[in-house]
Amino acid sequence: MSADPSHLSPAAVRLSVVVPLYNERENVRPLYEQLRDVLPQLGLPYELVLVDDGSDDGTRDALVALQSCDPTVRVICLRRNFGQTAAMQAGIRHARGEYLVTLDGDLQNDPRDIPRLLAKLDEGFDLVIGWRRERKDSLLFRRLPSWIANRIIAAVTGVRVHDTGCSLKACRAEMIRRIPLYSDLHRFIPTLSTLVTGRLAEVVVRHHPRQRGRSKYGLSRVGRVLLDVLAVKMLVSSARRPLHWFGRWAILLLALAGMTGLVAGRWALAGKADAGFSLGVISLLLAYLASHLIFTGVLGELVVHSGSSLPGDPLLRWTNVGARNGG
Amino acid sequence: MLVHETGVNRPAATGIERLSAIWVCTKPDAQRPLALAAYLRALAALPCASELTIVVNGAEVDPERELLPHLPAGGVPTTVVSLHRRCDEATAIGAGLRVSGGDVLALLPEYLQADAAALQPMLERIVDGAGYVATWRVPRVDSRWNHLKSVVFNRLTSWLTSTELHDVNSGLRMVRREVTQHVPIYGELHRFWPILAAQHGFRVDEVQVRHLEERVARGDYHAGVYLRRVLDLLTLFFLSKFTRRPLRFFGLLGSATLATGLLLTGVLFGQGWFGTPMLERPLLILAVLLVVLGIQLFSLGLLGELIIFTQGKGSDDYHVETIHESPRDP
Repeated sequence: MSADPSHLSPAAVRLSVVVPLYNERENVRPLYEQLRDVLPQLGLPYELVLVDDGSDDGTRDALVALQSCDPTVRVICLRRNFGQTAAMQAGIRHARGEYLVTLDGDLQNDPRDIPRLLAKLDEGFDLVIGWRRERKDSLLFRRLPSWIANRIIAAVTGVRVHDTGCSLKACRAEMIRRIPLYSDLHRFIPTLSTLVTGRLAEVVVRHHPRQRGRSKYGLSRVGRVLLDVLAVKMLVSSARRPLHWFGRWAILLLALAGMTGLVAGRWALAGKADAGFSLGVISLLLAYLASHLIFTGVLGELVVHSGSSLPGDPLLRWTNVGARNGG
Repeated sequence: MLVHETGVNRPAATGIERLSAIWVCTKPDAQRPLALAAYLRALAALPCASELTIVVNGAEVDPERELLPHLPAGGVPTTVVSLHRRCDEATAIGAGLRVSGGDVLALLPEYLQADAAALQPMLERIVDGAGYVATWRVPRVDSRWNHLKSVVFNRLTSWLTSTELHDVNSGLRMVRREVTQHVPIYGELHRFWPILAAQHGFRVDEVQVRHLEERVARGDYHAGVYLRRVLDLLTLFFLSKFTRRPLRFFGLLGSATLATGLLLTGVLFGQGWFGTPMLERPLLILAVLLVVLGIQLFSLGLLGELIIFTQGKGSDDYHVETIHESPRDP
């Protein structure tokens, strides 16, 4: 469809646009047209990697129809609905370009922002995250939980990003492929990417209200996200040295055990045998927990160092490879 | 492995090249010739080419006496494979899979417990796009007690795995070859094959069949067997729900335990403050142990996360069915 035939040669693809779609039949065509208006202007050979995440509303047929008349389109069909992270991961795994742009298939992201994201990548960043400063979603059910979640994620993980949930992102393929993405970890791409690179940037992007189709999110995810935050925090800070991380908590507990032990002793000597002994029991258990955590940390070291190369292996730490157009 | 072959091939129909039936025989059975005849009849009636692979699992069954004399000349091509020693069912099925070449496989129960005529409607489901067709034996002909055990077990299974199967133990099943390639089975997990197949994204259908006979050999269904099955089921439950996010499981349990423990401890200390002697209250032991257990559960969950994060890179969360793209070098 593009005027310049060089865009059609898949062998030279440099930019891959990855879009996971789940039951978005009515949005397929408009999305494709919006992308087609923007991408050829970039002057980069590109491909569209459209992932059908087990839709049952005919999205797949719409995608296959697109593919049959545009060779830059590649359609990956998953066997059933595996969820957004899995679909994203499938797209990333199959993408051929060295630059990746991901966005949602619901038209709430605006493809016209893609050139600005790529320009930011050009400045030497490895991951550029969209920031939907003016979100067009319901306040109570989408924006408020999202605001709280972003605050919690930023506070706990220490990676300050305004809008980790924004799907519109641009990154270098080599960087994103180093990050294990599974379960619902796509929400934590900015945080996880700090294992590999420190070059994150944010760009304010447009956001449109949903026109067609239905939103697939609900409030049910809050509890799970909280546990995920904890897990990601632990992974990012300890994946390289689990013993250090568990050890820190062990020392904290040991200190607590010592303090309660001292207080318990003084109470016991002062004649308050009951309170003293009760506190003594607690002190002992705290000490026990501390040793448990140390051994857990040792086990963690075994796990981490048994033959796997970590995503953020320091020797492989990312360095800038120069600008997008070869200089 | 000994291989005997008889019969001729028939032309294909229905888009399916050939259906291979696999029949694992483990125990000697006077009724075997009857079952063999029934199976051969059902296979011959199918609208596509078919073959029968009989896997003689171990030395108890003598194919020279029970099988070979009863194989008719011509008709459905039949292969008899003898394993040198008795293996578990999944291994025996695997041997049958290797020997037979069909693109659709039917697994036949050892004795004629379900009406083999059901192969016809099962094949229709496969042609319709199902990857796996399970059967549901109704109405049951065995004792009320067996029936009850089976209902409880199946309810538990479908609840824990969120599938809608009524009879996971039914031996009559049909699968596409690609399912056997994508969803490997081992040990006793072959019972839960349809559940694993559904998780991979294959369509799993269920067909009702007439229940003909239920034989319960002594020792087959004692408590230990059920215990092992329930443990298998729990394994499957964890594998399907929490392998990728252990902290969601351990964290949920851990925070509940921790919260209860802290609350109890607080209440006891509060009461102690107002003069109730705490050491006379065994509840204190429970309270602190709950706190300890809670923290231990959390640490186990975190360790699990670490294992998945650093070691789980080989496996994907998704399964690609097809890729539509233009050829790389046009």
